[in-house]
Amino acid sequence: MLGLALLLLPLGGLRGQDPALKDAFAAAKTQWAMQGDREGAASRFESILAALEPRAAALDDEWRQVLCETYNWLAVLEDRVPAKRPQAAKRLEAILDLDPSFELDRSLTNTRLSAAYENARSARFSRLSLTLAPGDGELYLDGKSLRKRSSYFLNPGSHVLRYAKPGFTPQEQRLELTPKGTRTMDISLTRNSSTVRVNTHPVGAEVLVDGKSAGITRGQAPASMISYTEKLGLTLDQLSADLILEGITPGRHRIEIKAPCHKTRLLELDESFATPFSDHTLEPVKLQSSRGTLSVDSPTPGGILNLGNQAMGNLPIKDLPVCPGVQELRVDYPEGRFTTRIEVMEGKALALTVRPRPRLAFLGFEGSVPDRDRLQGLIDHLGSRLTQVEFIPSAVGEHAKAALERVRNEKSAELTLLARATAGQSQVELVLATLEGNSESTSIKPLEQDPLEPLVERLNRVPSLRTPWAGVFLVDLPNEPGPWPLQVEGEAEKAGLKLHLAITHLNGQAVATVAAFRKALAAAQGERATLTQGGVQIQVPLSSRALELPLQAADLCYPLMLADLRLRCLGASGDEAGFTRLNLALAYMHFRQYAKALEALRDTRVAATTGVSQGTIDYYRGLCLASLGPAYSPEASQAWKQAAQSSGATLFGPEGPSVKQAATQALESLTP
Amino acid sequence: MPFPFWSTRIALALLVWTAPLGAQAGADLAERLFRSGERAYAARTYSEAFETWGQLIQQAPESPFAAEALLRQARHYAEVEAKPEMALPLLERLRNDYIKSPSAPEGLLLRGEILAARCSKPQDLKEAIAEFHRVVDLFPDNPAVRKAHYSLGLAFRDQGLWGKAQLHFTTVLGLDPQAPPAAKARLQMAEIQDLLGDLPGCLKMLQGVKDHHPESSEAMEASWRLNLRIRHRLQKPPLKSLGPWPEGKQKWLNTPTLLAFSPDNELFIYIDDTQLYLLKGTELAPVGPPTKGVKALAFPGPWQISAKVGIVKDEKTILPLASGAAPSGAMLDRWGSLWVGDARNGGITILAADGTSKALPSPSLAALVPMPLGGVAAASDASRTLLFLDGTGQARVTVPYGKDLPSPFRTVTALATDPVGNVAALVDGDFEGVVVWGSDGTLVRFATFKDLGISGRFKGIALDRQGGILLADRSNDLLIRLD
Repeated sequence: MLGLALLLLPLGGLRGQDPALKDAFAAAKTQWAMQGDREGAASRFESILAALEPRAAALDDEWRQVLCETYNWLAVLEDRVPAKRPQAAKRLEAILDLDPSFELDRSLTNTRLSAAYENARSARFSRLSLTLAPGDGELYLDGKSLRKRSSYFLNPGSHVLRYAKPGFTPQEQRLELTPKGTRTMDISLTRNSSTVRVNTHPVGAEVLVDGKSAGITRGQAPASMISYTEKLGLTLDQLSADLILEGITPGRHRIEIKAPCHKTRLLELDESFATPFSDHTLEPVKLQSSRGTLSVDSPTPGGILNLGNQAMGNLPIKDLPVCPGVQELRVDYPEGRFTTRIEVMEGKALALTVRPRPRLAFLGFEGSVPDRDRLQGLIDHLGSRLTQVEFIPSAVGEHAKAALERVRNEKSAELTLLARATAGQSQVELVLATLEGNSESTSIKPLEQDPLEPLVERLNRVPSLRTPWAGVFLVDLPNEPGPWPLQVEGEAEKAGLKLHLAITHLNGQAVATVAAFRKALAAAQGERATLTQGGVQIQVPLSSRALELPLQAADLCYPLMLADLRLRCLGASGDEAGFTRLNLALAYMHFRQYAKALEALRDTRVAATTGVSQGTIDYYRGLCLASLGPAYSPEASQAWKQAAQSSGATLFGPEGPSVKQAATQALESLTP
Repeated sequence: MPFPFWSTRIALALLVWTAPLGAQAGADLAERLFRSGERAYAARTYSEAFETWGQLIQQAPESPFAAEALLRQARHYAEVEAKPEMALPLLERLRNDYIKSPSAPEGLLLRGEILAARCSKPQDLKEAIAEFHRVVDLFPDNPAVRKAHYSLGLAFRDQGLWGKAQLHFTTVLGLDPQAPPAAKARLQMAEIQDLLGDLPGCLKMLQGVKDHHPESSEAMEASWRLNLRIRHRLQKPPLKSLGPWPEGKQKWLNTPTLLAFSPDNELFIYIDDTQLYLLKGTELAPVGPPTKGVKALAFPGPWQISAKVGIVKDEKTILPLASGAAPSGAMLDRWGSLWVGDARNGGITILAADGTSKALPSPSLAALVPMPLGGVAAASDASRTLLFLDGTGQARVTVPYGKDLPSPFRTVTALATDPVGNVAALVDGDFEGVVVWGSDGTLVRFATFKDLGISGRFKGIALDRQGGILLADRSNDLLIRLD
């Protein structure tokens, strides 16, 4: 059974079976030595042979030793049986094939076998005796590491011998060995620098000497360091094995030890470390943990946070301990995605509120596109240039049609991009579309320096649909020191803002024109602003007012607007939801999809009654109904009558034309 | 005998002319002919350009370049040679044969604009309106739609259908608030809003032109319109005399009796009962033939209206007035009809461009001036009312003389308007001085000559774009400016 188990060891699976194999080896020796069971012992040794022999060439030193010893044992056991003696000789040959420097166990091998082994070895190999100083360096023969022995049996011919130790100048010699010859060599290394031995917690820390990386700590500290680990409150497996820093030359040196999520430690080595040259061991270094915190929230439900490709859980996430430094943050939503690069500072809290951006999947090329490789290269880098969409490159080898079907089935993107050859021209058409097919096309010339620039500009332009508001309508007048209030609303009026008296400052900043006032207002933070009028400072409340999306702005990408607004709707509530739905309806109206626009406006209500407000929504409802044809004229009329009752509602923005007038005019237009 | 070389060339030319072209070869030839015509046009060799394009239209009538060639030629006739009648047949062919081409929207738009400009009465705009609607209906995604809606707004404005005009101007803004037609649309909307009594809406709209199109000519225009309205109707600073204008100019005009600003903001002065002058800086340049007894000016032109001579268009063209007419004011309306107020016989005579005339009944009018969106403002001493008439002659607003003034006046010596519809008058009676009304007839500013500290025989009045008022002093031979 054991033999069968050993036989079933998978290739390269020795490690996992080490204990069983070693136990079998020990048991085999005991079986012969203690019990005198030659047959049983031989059977065990055969099993070990069967496990190790097929991978003899790949065995490390330790297992090669085991295999050689097994051969040794089998040779001894078989030598006792006359019929098997020829087999014993083969075992000895096998040892020589595997490791000619192996010395037979004289305590169990008889003189005749030993002599046969020596004769065979001497006939095939040359003998090399080495004296090494210092004795604890690393020896390499022809590039392979050699166990240290008093003498070596090597194939005749040319070899390269290398001996090295940290802190010493390595020595490399070429030697020629003659068949059956004997050679003696002394190798002495010369000291050239000091060394420093470092152990760290955590394991995996990078150690730099004078700014250059000297390696990363690994493994486990030796048992001899138990007292140090106890002093640091650690266990042995929490402290790394030695990392030897070589090349410590005379002078001062700086050692930096750093690990993710830990504070970097700096150590200074003074001149005594390298004068004279010697080997030093530093006290084990325990790095202090370093953390910041991250909180991420989103008004859109269903977000899952990923940091550096590791899932961190569902949003909202509050006070998550995070390693300081720069990280890639990604939030995946059922629809849309958000990515950004964040930098967390040690001991500081970072809070983000995020929302999903549309995902744009590149489907690939259609037709024979000129300069395709160059264009593909540019498109591959498109993601780093886009700020309002999340770019997904095409899958290698997938055709555009298949890609589109996959994206639609998986709903893995909100937008698609296709590069299509145009007939007879050296231009390419880029078609950007929603999954429902609302699209726009741009022609580009692939040979231009940056053919994708127009596309990038359009995709990066998502206009703000809110404008900051201080409750005052302003005009520019010559000979006035600042913008001139034409109308003052509600809260601003209550605060004491006067009509027809120029405003000269906002939050202490001089504002000479309406444009300057608006710029200062956009930069204002908080819920109130201080306006100066006639030398008097007045605190007015700040708010924001909704803006409308234009229906055919030349610089807007409407498929993007549709996708973006749909995602915004998912996370919006209250009046913001209403205004987002209004703009979504306007985006549908761009594509003349009035029925879909009406769907977006259905049951949409906002509390606002001035500026873009409920009256505005009623007006556009009427417009959509009227656009559906004469059959909907009564409904359109009803909507416009409703709109005409709103005295404060406006179109386009807080300073746009009155909805009441527009609705009244629209009602007149319905009358033949 | 060898074949003559010239015969070979002719044969080849004929082969090119008559042989049917392969599709790709035909497309290439069409493009080459178009580009060749373009080069000739850019070099201003127009006849060569048109000949080449003519060849293109004949050789490759199916090509979109043929449509573009038609459009280019039409545009040249309409805009460069000012011969729209030659453009129309080309545009009609474009409309009938190339409706699917990319050039069709602009072609229909241009046709509509030409038709609109040719109208002599509001009802004639029907065909132009239909053409603009066609652009909107057939090419809803084309940028030409913005201009089409703007043109529809203008057409309905000209018909006095303010609501429909506003609807289309609003549509222009909704399509793309940053596009150039939006700037013009805002300006138009602002004027109509003021006419409809929404001064705050008007002012916000004018500020909107400056906000959205800050470097444009429309923004500059919005600026002075805004300033003018606010100065006269909101700020209303007391009138004060700034003295002779231009500064330092004393006794330099020989009995000025008539003042008027043209739509292009040029000041015309009628002097010595003989000659009309244009003020250029501080110098006077004579305009038109010497004409005695001019009582009114009509712009553009200007035409000089004289009881003694008639209607003087230029040196060669003089039209008669009705017998015994005493013209007190005049206006050339959008349709090319001349409105003339009569101080003696009463009424307003409207002389159409085709020579027909009609009379609008009204009391005798001491003065009559045009209003910016059509119609006139007229002063009737007989009925002691200031009348604001719309484009059809219907009274929109009637203001009794002296209303809201500390004391009444009896007569109006002269009347003036500015481009935003403010009306100023030189008045006489218990109140002798200057009175200014807004476009809705509301009294906004007034001052007696005594309050102003000026004396003289003031016969002419004009309103400038800075909110100032110019008075022509016949006895002191100078102009005085009030601020």
